[in-house]
Amino acid sequence: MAKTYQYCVAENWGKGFIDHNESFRITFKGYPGNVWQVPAYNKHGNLWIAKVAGSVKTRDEAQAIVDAEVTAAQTAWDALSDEDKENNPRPADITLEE
Amino acid sequence: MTTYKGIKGFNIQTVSSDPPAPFTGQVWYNSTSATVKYFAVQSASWSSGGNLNTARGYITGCGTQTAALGIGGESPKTAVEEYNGTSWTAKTGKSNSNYIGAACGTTSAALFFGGATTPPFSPSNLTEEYNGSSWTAGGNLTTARNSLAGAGTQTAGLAIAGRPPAAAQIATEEYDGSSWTAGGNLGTARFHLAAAGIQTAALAFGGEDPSPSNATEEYNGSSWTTGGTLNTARQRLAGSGIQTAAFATCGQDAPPTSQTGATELYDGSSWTNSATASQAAAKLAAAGTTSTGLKFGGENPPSTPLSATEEFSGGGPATLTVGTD
Repeated sequence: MAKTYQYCVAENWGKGFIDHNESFRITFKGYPGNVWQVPAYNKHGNLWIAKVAGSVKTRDEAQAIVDAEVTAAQTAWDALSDEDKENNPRPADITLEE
Repeated sequence: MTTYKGIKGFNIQTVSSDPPAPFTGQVWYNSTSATVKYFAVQSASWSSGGNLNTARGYITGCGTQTAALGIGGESPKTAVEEYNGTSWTAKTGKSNSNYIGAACGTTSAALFFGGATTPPFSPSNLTEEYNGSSWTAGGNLTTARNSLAGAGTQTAGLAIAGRPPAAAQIATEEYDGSSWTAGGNLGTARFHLAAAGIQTAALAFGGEDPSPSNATEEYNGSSWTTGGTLNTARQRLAGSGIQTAAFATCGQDAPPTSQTGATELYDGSSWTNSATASQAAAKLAAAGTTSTGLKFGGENPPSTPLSATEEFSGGGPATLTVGTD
């Protein structure tokens, strides 16, 4: 099955990381661990990954990075006081799309 | 060979300056800049802004896209930063360490109020006023509360809902520059909501009731009435604008709580889905308008403090250049 999305790891440096021209051409989605999702087989997605010097990951590699972040956050949440837990819902698992 | 004239029946007009009132779809060649341009309706979009110097959740904010204030947060609780449309600069920190409060106003006349101090976790009634360079004490809220929303200005502010007391979840208080007095009660009790507008024409939307809420209410200076419901119910969201042109963005939607980047625009009667923010977040802040908005800070899924800022463009008619736009 052809994939719908591709993933990369890139650090958001701020202004210019995603500009309006890029944003209204394709949909970006940021995940924990500086993982970014853009459309697969898409010129604008490829150009953006090149611009930000993104390290391309397979969906499974990206999922492993996200899982590690979520697990760490869940472990940290489990150690919170009841008071802090009330103000900070337990982090939910995240499943990346193909 | 296919030509523009072959398709459209006429050539592209050559002009030395852009037409003053182009129509949608019009194409022309600007001989001065040597560029082919066209006039089109652009989609709404989010782009990256300058990163906060200090990443944090439960940050509050006010102002505009090019002059915004980021106030406090879960850690650090007193730090204040100012955005100029490009970058954030550290400013004088507020005096008290209350957080999960609310803010309103501008970069030169802001108000921060309510929240909680910790440890132990205790709702706060403190108000602080900012003049662009320093913070001074304002009048105390009548009902101490955290997780509330704010709207209005430094001299005509609104404190809306919050918790933990049940009474706080529907209470509105109005600030006149020195003291708070009771306003009308909300119809839907909630906390971790967002607000927009001014003291006599405000909007409260979303929140936790204790499930993510899609409720919207409009305030006329004395009472709240029901408005259109959000398409995506959510809590710990952010929003800004005015009662008849507001935006709501991000937050946590249906349990198990996951952050969303969904953005909606309110027109005075109903919410319409708009461009989704690239970085989903909760416990964030927003500023600006439906045409030039700003979101910053917060936490991404799962719970990492964010320094990211995104700038919202509501789109609309614009002159664009072929090859670059």
